[in-house]
Amino acid sequence: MKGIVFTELLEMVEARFGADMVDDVLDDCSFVHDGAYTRIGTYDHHELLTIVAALAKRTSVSVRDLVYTYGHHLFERFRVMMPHFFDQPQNAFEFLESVHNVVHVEVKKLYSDAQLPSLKVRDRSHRTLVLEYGSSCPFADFAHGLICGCIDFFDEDIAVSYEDQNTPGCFGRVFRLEKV
Amino acid sequence: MSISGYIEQGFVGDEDVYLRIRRLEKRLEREKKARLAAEDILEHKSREIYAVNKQLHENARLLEETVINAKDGVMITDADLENGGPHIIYVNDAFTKITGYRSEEVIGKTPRILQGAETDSKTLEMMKERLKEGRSFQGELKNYSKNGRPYWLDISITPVRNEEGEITHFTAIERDITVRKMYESELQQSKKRADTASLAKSDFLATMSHELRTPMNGIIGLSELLLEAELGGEGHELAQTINGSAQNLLELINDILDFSKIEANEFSLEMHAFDVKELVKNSIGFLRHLAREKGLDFRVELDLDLPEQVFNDCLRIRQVLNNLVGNAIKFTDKGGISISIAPMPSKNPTHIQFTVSDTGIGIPDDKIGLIFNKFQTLEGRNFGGTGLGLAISKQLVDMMDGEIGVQSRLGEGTTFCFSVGAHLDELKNQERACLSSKGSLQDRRVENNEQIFKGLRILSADDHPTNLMMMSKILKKLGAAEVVEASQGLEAVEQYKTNGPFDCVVMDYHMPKMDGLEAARLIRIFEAAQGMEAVPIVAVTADAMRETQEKCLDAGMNDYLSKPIVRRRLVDVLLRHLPADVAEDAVLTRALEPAEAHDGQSLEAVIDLSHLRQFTDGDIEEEQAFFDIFLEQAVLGLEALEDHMSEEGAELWKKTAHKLKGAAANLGANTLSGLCFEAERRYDEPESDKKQLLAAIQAELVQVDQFMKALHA
Repeated sequence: MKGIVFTELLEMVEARFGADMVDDVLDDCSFVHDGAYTRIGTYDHHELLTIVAALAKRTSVSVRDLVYTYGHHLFERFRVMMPHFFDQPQNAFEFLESVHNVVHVEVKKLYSDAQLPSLKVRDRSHRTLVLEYGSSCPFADFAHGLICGCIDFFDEDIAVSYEDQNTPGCFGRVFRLEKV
Repeated sequence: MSISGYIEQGFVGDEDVYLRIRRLEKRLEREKKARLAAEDILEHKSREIYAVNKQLHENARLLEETVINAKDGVMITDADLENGGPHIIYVNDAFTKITGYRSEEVIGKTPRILQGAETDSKTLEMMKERLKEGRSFQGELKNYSKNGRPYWLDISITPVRNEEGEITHFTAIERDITVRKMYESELQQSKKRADTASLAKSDFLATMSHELRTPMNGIIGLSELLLEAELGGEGHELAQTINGSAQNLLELINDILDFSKIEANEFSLEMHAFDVKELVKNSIGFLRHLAREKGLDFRVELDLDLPEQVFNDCLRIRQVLNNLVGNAIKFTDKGGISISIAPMPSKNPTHIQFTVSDTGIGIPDDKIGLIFNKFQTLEGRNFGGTGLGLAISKQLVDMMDGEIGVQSRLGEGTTFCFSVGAHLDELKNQERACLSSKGSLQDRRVENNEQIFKGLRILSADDHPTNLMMMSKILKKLGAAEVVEASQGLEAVEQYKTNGPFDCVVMDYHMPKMDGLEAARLIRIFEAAQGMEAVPIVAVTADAMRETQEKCLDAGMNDYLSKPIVRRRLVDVLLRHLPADVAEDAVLTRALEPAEAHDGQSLEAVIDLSHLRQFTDGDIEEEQAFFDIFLEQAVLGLEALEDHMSEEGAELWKKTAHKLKGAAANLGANTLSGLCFEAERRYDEPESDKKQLLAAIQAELVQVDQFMKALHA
């Protein structure tokens, strides 16, 4: 997993819970590298789960909520860090539709070793968008957070419902977005 | 010393501050580690990027060098096909060499500056169309250099696409093919000239051959009449020589005519059903004689599985067989010739295979590939001939759905093999379609002396008096009661109107004032007006072209005969069109007659009866009388030979053999005559050899005697 996901998480933790929380959580985790993350590095995705678990323990917020919140937060950060992805899409549907074919393609160009989840459009109408998420990592809640971050960014009234469709080796979730 | 060090040594005592500082130190430590890790990664990345960059540079350098130094012109343009584009953005040195334009003179301009008056607009349109569709283009184009010199390009244009698949540029690779184009055009012109010349040559040959056939008709016909006249022994021989030479010459002319027709694609086969065994029997009689004359062994094997009948052009098969066997005899001095005919495959054959093997001089390896080429006669094989025989044979065999091949060992012999289609399916169709007696009539060979046309009145028209006379003689010999002659078309029509009715009309094609076609038309009109039945009209023409034959049929004629007139063909053709009762009679006459062709015992008749019957008019008693005289002479001759075997008697031996040879030839006893010829030729050889020859002559005479007895039993 790319280092930016870790550094952004720690930034968020610091912003919301203070720098000491970051120290404590990393101390709890006892990583070999002491949590010295750099955004250009690549790390095992289990470390992210370890960090979130430690944070949940210290903050008494559920892992799922934390992961969702981080997803929501990260979307805003993406917009700031990579504004060019926002040149074309005019609304949430358009942006989400471009993730698989545009955003992920660009990421692959820079980081050929990046292991990206898939987010494919299964169905699309004027009011509805059905997206299919799939990943070897259990980050469906993270994706949920990102999707909601996107909807909030475009300031639209869209209800999100979902259904998990896990298969061996793949964590899957079908998101159904309906304009209200 | 670190901050915590100071604290540990008591400089700072506050526990909280201590912990705070420890925390900050740790955080700093972590940040430093992260920075170092990032620096490591960056350095590694930099090296990677450098390496990749270097490789890219190297690749680009190679591509650039290739383009710059290419011998073909390279031009890169943008992809703007509208707005006065595309615009040239790069050209290499070769482009400058071809066009005369330097790079800076064309960059930013459109390639259209290279086009001119003779640049093909259709090619340009096609090019634009293809490029618009994002496809590549390849073609030839005439462009103009800076100083207006036209040049030909072989041009290949390919669109270049970006990552999104959009066309951003076009690259054109241009090769100067001006010289090649020049050669091509020269070559084309030469070919055209050669084709025209070849056609003219074929035409000339065809015309000449026709022209030659007409006088040949006269020579052959008249010499035949001479042969029938009461001439002395020498006179007869001279006439025979004239006839033989004329026949040879006609064969050569026919070769040339065949060949020029094949060359001009005017040749077609005449397909019909026939018996292969019969064909072979009829073809080889004379060849066997020639072989025996040269002292060669001559064998013919007919496979037992040969079908009764096959469907193809029997005359052309005969022509090929004659050619191959004739060659075999020509090129063999010792040993013999063997011919075998077999179906292929043996059951339900699709083809019939003919094999002709000899023990002759053979063909050198380096020449064997050439022998089916036209005008190819082998060095050292100075035996005359047009050199067309094998070329014609090959083309005929090709047309007859077969193959021809040869194997040879120098000094040991040669084997030619050819096959022709059997077309048994076609045969069945024919049988179904033609159940009448007509088909069977065609197969029957009618001998010279039958009174086939007994009582018939025939109108014969020909502007040539000798031809007219000959035709009358032949027809009368065949039993015609009256032959009314006309020397040109109009006269023929008048005769038909005033002197009719006739049983049939024989009409020359070319006649002054009114030709045969017009005369036939007028006769048909007259018949229609009078409500008469249409008389069979047969055209006689020296022109064997199919076109001419069709013209005859179109004019209302029933059939055609090509010159020179062969009695058998004349009878066949007339029988085909005479009323059924005449035809039936003829067949009946034929069937009652014992004939050598039907004995089935040997392929070669001991006596060729057609010779004899020219003198006897088919009268059996007369034949017998003739034979008795011959036998008497022959016995005396044999005695004389026996008496003069010694060296002193050589001259008398020679004279006796000569006399006997002539007598045997008149009888048609060709083998016997051949043996006598041999005896005459070898008159000065030792007595022992002559003994052998005499024995052979005696044995053959016994055969002849038995044959005649069997015939008249």
